[in-house]
Amino acid sequence: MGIFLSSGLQLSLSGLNAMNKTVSMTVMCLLLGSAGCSDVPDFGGGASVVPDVSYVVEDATASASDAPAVSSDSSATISLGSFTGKVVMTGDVKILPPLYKQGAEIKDPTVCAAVDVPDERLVLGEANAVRGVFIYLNKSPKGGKALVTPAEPYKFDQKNCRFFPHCDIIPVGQEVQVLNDDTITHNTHTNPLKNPSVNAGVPPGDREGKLSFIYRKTESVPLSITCDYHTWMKAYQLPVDHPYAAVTDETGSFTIKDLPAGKHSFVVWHEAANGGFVERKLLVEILSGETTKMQIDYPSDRLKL
Amino acid sequence: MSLTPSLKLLTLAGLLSLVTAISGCTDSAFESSFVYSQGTLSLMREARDGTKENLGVKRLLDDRFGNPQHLKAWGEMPIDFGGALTTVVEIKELPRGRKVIKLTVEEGQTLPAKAANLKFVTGGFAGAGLHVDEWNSETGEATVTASESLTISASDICAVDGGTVLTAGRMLYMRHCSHCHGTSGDGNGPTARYMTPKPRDYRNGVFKFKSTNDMSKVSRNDLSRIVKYGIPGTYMPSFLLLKDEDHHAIIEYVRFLALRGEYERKLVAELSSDFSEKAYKSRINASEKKEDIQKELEEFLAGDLKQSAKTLGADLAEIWAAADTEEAAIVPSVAREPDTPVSRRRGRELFLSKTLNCADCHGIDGAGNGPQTIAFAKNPLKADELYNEPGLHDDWDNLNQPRNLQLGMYRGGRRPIDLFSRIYGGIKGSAMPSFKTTPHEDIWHIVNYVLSIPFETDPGATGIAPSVAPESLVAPAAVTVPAAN
Repeated sequence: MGIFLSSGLQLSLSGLNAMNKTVSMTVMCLLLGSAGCSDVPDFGGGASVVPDVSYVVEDATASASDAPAVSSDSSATISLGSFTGKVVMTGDVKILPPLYKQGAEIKDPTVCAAVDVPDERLVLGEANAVRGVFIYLNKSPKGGKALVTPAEPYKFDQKNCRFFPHCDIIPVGQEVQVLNDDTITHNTHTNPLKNPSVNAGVPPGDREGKLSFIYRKTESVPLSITCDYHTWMKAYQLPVDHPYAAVTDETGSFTIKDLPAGKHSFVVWHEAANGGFVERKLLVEILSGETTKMQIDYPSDRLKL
Repeated sequence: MSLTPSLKLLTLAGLLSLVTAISGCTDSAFESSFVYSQGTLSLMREARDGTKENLGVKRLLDDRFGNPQHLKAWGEMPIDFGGALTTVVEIKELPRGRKVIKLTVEEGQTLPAKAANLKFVTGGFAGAGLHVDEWNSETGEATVTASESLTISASDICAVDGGTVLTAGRMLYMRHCSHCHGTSGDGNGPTARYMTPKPRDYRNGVFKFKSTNDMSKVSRNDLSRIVKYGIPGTYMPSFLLLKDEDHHAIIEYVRFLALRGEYERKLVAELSSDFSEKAYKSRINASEKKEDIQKELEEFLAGDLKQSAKTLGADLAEIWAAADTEEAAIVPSVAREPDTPVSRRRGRELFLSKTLNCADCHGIDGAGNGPQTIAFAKNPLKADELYNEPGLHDDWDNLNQPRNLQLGMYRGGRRPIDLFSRIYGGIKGSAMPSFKTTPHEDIWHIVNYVLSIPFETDPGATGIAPSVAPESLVAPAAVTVPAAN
């Protein structure tokens, strides 16, 4: 409406001589008034429309009944089994050269390039076993054991501008203490989706863990952690609220214990996989009192390096 | 032959009335709407719009926050919507159709001093309202006139003068704020594209300049300072001339928009890894079946998301309410160090030191030109894609270079305590980390030094020449661009 009005005015003004200007303006105003919109002083966006407000209250009774089933601790009645295996890269395997060689001309070289800095996006062990692959259930299965949150803090360290460990599972509620074994400062910057983000400095040589934080919520995929001073530094952590998650070690192996017997769908996630997922749904059948063994193939064409 | 002016006018009049007739004069022609985030729009259609049986993100959001014409006051949220939310205790009949409704508020809250109308939220009279003839703020007794018998019963929830602050906030926001911050608070109003820095997008629930701990939300006091005094060095002006009650209404409405945006983000975060359009495509490529994915989504919407819709609200309410408590406030454990040459020198030492390395971003002389400003960084939230231009970026993906401290312009305020808060708590949403592990005396020394930088006759004249800057602070001769992924 406003646009129409202004262009209309321009039109009329250009077509009229200066003497008639005032007249035309008056006529225009009259026209507008007669058009019946005089009670709408501002045009556009509904800015002047007085809103109405209605209240919304959550139905207290419904939320009680909708509460998730509390996992029972009657483990005696539920048969359990284990899941163990190895993640192996298949196809054309590429060995990544070190990110930086010892003595490289990078920032803070006396600390960060004191040793070779490996490219940790893909670390292969013997027989192409892949380190640092997350294997986990998205949520606790029926009859699953409750998470035991360790009372002692989790230690997350930094040395030669690398995070240690590079990948790990963190129980929700456990205190994470950030250490620094370097003579320079770092900052720990987390990039979670569901937890609040941390971004704080870690003083040089701090072995006490003055900086600490706690994950209160689970994440559906591992979150990345960086240092803004040394932007190549990277770590991944997965906060979980159940004990059914593991990260593969140097030999590509993992073990998840005490799974209720039955079929489970595991997420297999790795930082160098395109989109992060090696498998979104790895169906595994767990038999009572037995250990299910499996080799998980990680085709190299899934890599995004 | 040209038309005479009068004839032109007549044509114009015809045109105008036609336009009016088409557009109509009802409110609906001028209605505005809240936009949905990119996150919501990137979800699978069923996750966005819902299915026959289950609600999607859009409805979950709209049911709790409404739209700019029909706002929803979600009782769960720590927002002063205006008035009070009360519970009916009993109803007494008086002669001539008059009735007394006794109301009570939750513990810790007070009944309003005045009351003009009641609006029922639950029970048989839900959605309907009554005019209050007499109000006793001591006893909570409202006298109303109603000839017919009312279907009100004890324990019904009823708003007394509900939503007055939210309504006022909406009106003021649309007049003073929306042209930059946008109707939805997405920082994308019509003028936003011409601005650097960009207006704040509230929907992350993140505000940069606050006096609360690094992990806490912004407090009402912080928002109040920003609205009243503006942000120096940006387009955010001072609104000091508005009335106190107007400031309050605007702040509550900004909180409303921030909470709406953050709630939307949290809902999307529940769905995005498995049910975004992108995830759907990759799942189909991994030979999952369309029906299976849809069935799984249906189950997720019916179970997990329905549950999350409630718990996420409660979580948000808790952290936002906590920001206004004493525990959240940054309080130095020692008084400010006297501003002496010795203190400034110590501050400069720390500024350059490997312990804090402020100079890495802010530069050896505080000119905001440290080595980090010329390095290409990766976007951690977008699969480590390189940013288009070198330098530091904020959570909104805008180039966000460190402050040039030689200018003496401090966006978060120029009081020493403001600078203390910036260093202690960091700047949320930016690369500036919190230095909460640093002794408070040292932070004060840095504050003294930083405040002295604009007045240094010779940069670094505090006694420590830039030449002794640690090796890490010397910018590399050539900028090395990391290989793109």
